[in-house]
Amino acid sequence: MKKLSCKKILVLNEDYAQNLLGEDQITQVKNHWAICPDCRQAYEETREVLSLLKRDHPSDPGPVFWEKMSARIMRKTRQREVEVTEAPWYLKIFRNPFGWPGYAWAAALILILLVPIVFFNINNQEFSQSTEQPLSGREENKFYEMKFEPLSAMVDSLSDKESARLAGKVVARLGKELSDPPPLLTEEETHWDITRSTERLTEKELEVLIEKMEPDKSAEHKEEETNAC
Amino acid sequence: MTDYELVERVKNGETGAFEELVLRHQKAMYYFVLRLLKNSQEAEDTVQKIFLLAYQNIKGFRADASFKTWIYKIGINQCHNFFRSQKNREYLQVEEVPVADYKADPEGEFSAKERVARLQEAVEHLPYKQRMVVTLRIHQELSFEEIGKTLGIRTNSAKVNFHHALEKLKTMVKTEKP
Repeated sequence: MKKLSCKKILVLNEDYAQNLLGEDQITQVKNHWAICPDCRQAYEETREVLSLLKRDHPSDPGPVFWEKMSARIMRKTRQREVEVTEAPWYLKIFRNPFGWPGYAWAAALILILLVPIVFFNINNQEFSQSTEQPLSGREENKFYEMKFEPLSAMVDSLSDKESARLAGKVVARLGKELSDPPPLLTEEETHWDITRSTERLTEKELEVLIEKMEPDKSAEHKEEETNAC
Repeated sequence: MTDYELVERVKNGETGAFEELVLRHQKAMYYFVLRLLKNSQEAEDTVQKIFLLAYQNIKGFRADASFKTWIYKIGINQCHNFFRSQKNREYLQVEEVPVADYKADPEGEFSAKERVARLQEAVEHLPYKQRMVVTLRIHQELSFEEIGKTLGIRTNSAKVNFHHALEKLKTMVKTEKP
């Protein structure tokens, strides 16, 4: 039979004191004790500590105490059972709604929070796209009325140069059919937005414009432009 | 009938089977909780809470664990909750452990009682895991495997903790001896 070291025996001493060893190991331990009094002494100490620990046991409160305790536990348990089965529907839903597990509720909560955010973003995009679209006839007039001063006042305030350019555009525009929505402005015309509403000029206003359209001045203006280029 | 069979019955709606489980485990649970809380009234209330929780959650109990270790786990958690609440309230009423009567007890009996009390005090000063292993092994008579499952540690770790605890207690007993 294999001899065991003192270190190993010290561990086995504890198992021996707790009746956890097999017959072979018991024999090994006892054989070791025969030749090693220190290990035997260590076992005695372990046994003493274990027996002292086991002696510390609270006193039994008696059968009546246990009966009362179990009765109390069962009363509470049954009470709880009745509470759960007879609870109104809203309380049942509150306690365990639809019998869903916790993770299902977490997923539902995330969806509830995310869906409005996503919809709000989509609606915002649609709105911004719709505002970017070109305005139709009536809407456009309304928009310009809101944005600019009355047209007659604008025309009066124009300088000679400006009025000459404007007049050129008016003539060009009047020569076209105006029933369709006006086309978008070209790059050249961007600072002359006002021309898009020229079809709304009164005759008097047009006369003012025509008066201001002096062919000489406009020719001078063209020359200036070509020079600048 | 085994605990497992009783649990299955409770799952099928037999409350009587749960009563049987209560009768089987209430003593051990009460002594265990009393040892941790040191207050009989609090221990009674806590044991009641433990069994109520066990009943409520029995459908989630799986067959791979034993009912005994499962209920000990609930017990430890409840005791932790109790300590947490007491810490917040800064109130802990510890019942007086009956002290041996100097005059009434013969000398030998007194010294043994005193030694037991001192040893128990030493156990209280052990690190948490060692203290729990000692309590579960010595007083609750759980196997090291069951202790491991209850405390969420390996069986070997439970054994090592027990060994270290015993070594410390042995040293204390040696120094105490006249």
